[in-house]
Amino acid sequence: MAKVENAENVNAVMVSRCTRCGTLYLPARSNCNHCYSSETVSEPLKSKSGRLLTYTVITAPPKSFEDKSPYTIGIIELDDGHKIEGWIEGIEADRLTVGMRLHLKLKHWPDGRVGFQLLEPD
Amino acid sequence: MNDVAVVGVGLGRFGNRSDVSFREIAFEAASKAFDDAGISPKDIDFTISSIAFPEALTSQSSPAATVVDYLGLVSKGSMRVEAACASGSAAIRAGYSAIKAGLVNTVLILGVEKMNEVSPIEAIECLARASDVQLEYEPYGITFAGFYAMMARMHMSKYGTTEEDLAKVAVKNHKYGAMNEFAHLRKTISIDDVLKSRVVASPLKLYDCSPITDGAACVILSDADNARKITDTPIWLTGLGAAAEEAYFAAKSDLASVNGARQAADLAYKMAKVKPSDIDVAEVHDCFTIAELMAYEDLRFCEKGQGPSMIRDGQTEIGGKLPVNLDGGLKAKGHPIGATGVAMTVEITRQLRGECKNRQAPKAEIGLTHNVGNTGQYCFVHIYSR
Repeated sequence: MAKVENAENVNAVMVSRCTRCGTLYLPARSNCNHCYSSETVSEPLKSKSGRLLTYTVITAPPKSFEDKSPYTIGIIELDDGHKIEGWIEGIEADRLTVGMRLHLKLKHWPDGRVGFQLLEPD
Repeated sequence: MNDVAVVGVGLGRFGNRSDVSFREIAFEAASKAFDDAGISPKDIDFTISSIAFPEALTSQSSPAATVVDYLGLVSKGSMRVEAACASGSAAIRAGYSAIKAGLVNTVLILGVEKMNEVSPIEAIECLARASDVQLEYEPYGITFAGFYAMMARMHMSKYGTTEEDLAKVAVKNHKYGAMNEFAHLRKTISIDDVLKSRVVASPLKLYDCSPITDGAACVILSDADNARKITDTPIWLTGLGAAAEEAYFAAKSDLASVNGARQAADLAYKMAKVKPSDIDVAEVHDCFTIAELMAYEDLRFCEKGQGPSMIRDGQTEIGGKLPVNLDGGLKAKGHPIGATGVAMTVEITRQLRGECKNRQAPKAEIGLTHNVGNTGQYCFVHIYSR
């Protein structure tokens, strides 16, 4: 895995910015596909809340997620316009509604995988 | 310029085919295509195999070589193409290109997949790993039913589409699948059967999903001069469009549409010099019921959001404005990944020849295939005419 895509996402949700053309990436990435520069810097994501666009509760899991079923996946549109997939946690499926406010946090799996989780605001 | 026509088609029966090996089901399809065209392996200049996920679904890597040998095609060149669930249409496009470029005259396109060599839960994982493994699969375990479920919910919240609308697609496709001797699921179902089936990825239920199927399909393409010698009923490939969408699902410009299919359709219509209203019969990629409704809209058979009214009004059945998936579609015929796009071409060829008996579209002069890989990362639309 490229450094920006994972390793720097240890403590905070990071975005990457191309220092040549200014393009902002979330999920973060090492290389810019607009100007083909590899000079990207990572910075903490400012806008961490948004609204739920769509979601699904998966009840027919693939083999490697068999013991996690059922689990809920959603897409959030952050207030800055970025759209992000995440694992919805702590909200029962019958309380989910399209348009509800959620916020984004990092999700660390015990084996080192990193993703996003979508939670209700505190 | 050399025009390109379909001169022979054949299918290996779709279903749970533990009775045959990978190469045997390929042989079923190829032998029927040779019979149909009235030619033999010596008349083939090049073979293109469409096999999407053999490394994960079977224990054989690069199976095209063994299949080509088994079919008696070793003295000619061969390659395999992969574009996930749209591999078959990618193979047709590659064959068309080779003939059009004048490299070869006659190409055999073979689509095969054996999905029941592994358990269903392993097959679901194999397919799910066609998403971005790093950004989507490993962190979240999103399945393709999950992706299409999120599109379905988006369509519902944007346009008021209901679970009954989705169920009507399954009911229609099962109705025609029951009439198709090559289909995997040969039984009619009711709206209630769909609504009461178990949830797979809400709001999609088991009967909203295409089954896990083994199958094979074969199409022989040839240039105009040879095509007219081989057959009295060449079916001309007159328009091809290809487009791709962002790999990261959330970044799609419209989560209630497959924008790549929309772009591919526009390119195909332009090349074939036809309008959506000129299409008499279509094969669309109904991997999930919502996908067929979005296909109506993306192919511009109706406006965005109007897909549900087309199914409610019966416009896509025989007797309606534009019959769709009269072979049962992926939903009932089955979706053996690599065979799917090739099988769509087999069906459109037969429809345009008028060979489909009780499931024949009336006055079919111009047909269309719509084949989508992943959630739009590989989109191919082809237009055929008599």
